[in-house]
Amino acid sequence: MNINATLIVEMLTFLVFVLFNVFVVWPPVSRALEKRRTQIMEGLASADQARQAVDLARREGEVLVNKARDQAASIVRQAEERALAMVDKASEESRKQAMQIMDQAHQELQVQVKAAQRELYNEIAGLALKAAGQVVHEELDDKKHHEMVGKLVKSWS
Amino acid sequence: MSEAAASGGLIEAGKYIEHHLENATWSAGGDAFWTFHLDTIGFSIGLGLLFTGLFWLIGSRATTGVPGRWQNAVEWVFEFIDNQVHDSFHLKNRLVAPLALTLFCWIFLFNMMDLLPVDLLPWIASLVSGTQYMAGSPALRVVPSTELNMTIALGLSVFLLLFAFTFIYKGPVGFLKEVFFHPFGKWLFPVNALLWVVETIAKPVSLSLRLFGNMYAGELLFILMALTIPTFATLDWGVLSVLAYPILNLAWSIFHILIVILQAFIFMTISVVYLSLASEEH
Repeated sequence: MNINATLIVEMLTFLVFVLFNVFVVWPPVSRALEKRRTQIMEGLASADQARQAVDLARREGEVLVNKARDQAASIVRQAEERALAMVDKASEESRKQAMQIMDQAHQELQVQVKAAQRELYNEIAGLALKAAGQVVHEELDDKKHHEMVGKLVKSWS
Repeated sequence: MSEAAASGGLIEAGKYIEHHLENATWSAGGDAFWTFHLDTIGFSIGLGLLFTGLFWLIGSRATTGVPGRWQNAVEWVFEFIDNQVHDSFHLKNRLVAPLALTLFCWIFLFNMMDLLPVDLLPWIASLVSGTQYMAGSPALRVVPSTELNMTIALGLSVFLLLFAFTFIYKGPVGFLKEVFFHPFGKWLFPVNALLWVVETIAKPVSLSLRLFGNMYAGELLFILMALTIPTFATLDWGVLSVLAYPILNLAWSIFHILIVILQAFIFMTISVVYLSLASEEH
């Protein structure tokens, strides 16, 4: 139980262990802990940033989708309008064309009918003259003859 | 029990206790001061090597990534110590935290030796030395913190550090001011100086004696309880005469775990607080 040289030995031993811990044991662990702490902090910060970025992107995406939807709707509407207009125009044109064709045909028909009438008229007049001339050659002079034929033709037309 | 047997038993008991509290010594001759307690020195160095080696081995491979189980344990101790130190020592100092780590772990391991069965290591020593146990087998004090030289060595080291810290952080003038002008102002400087002496001496003494007293008493209790084994055996208590000692021992061991940790913690914390007082203005 006496105080003796053991005291000195133990003080030196303590000194050695403390110095060893100060210079060898403590620094790497302390460094590792500090580094991990900063890493975790950075990780958390970047996770936060990423979350914000995702939020932003989602919002932007929503805006874009909405815009695109609107655009698509307007395009469809426009297309429908244009299609309607085209159909209208086409039907209008075709009706006009049909009318035109019909008109043309009508006119041609009338021209032809008139031509045919005239031809027929002349032919019939000639024929009638020939027939009548043969029938009543003797009794009729040229003047009376023309009067008769004229009357006849008038009654046909 | 006859008187002779009783006194014989007492002598036996005295011998038993003495045997457990005696040191294995080696003397350099000459003055009695140059005696070395080989058991205390050996166990303290061994335990110190155990924890520094373990921490060094694990700590030097510390990764900043996901720590393994061992690294986790080491980091837990480091962070615990670091928090304790940061709570009371606010200046930047490379020494204090490793010092606290050394104090805590070393004293903790000293005290843990108390939880080994009291006869285990002395018995092994008798086997190794080939002597009969208790009769001529080497004395062996297992728990270094039940050795006054050990606890005073720690207290004295902290004491010297207090002076060093005061000089480093406050300078010689600050030191003298601390001695003479505190706490009652400069006109009462003799009283202040006297108080300072008492206060300063009390620090290492209380540190050393608190640890020593707690551990010595704990160890003594384990030894005394071991002495009750033959007494219980003679009593006619049935199973209890066999189980009484294990139950007592277990109860005290469990309680002692608290003391083991608490004393290590107290020594460390109070040392750090002293160092903080020595270095910071208050």
